[in-house]
Amino acid sequence: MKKLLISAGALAALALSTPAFAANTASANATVNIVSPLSLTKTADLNFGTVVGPFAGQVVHVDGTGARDCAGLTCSGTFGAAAFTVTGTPDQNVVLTIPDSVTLSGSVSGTLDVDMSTDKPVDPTLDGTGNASFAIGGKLTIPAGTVDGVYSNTFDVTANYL
Amino acid sequence: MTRHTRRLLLLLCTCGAAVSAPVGAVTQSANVKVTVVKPLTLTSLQNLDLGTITLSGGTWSGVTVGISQAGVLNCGNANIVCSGATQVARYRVTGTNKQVVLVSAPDVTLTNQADPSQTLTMVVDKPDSITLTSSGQPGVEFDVGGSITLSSSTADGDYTGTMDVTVEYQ
Repeated sequence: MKKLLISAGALAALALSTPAFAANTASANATVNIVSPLSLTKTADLNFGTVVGPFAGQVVHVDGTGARDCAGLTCSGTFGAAAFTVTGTPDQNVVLTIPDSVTLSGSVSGTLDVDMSTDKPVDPTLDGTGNASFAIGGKLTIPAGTVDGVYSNTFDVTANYL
Repeated sequence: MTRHTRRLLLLLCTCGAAVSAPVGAVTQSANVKVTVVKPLTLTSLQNLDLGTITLSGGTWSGVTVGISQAGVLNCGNANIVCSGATQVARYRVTGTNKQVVLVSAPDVTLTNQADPSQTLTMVVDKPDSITLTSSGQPGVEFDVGGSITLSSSTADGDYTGTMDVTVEYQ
């Protein structure tokens, strides 16, 4: 019963005060951006191929175009940049989150570091059909004494609307 | 439940939302891979020899004589007679264990030592690839054969040439 009385009093006060502020109108815009869910698909892995020693800290580079620079070392085998496609609402800006580096583990022993900080794509804008693609390269440093073997790991890429 | 309790629960829920992943974000993984190997070595162990081939008279062409990489001599034609010792070329390759090595070799031009204008083309018979079974020595040996095509007009003489075999990691 006490709550009911308080509510009734508040309504009465509002009704009485309305005429004092008449003819004073302001408008504000209301916007909302409705988008479709993003889809991110990996289409290729980052592959440096086969690199032949001896090593002394050379840096093997696979850039975003997929070109490989073996820094004077002998290289062979299939190689290429990581590649992704992202789809969503046309003409929307997308923000990518990509790690600066990844550490590869050797099949026998040891690790190798890949620096991707300078081989990231710019954040893409989806085209008129809602698609964009991008690639990621990296610089692989191979120190002296690196043990033969296959070195590998994975890294995550995240895409979101700006 | 008191009003104080309800406010506390609301605050906790808000904190939980702040640390969750952004709504709408999507994530994919990519693999990164490199194969690190030691340098290949390739050593010639013996030369290829097709022996002596005697040509019959008459007019004929398109007769193939060769030795396969397995060492089998192909000399089965009535217009020719093969004699003398023959052998395949032999190589040893070393590198990193379990790696596949690609073998390439272009055709070889054999030149008549008495008349360099006379040549024969030897088509190489080789393995396409070798899988190494050790790191470093002893490596793997492989053989390379070859065949030539003769005619009744082929000039007599000793024909020699250099066979360039190349190996690289797959």
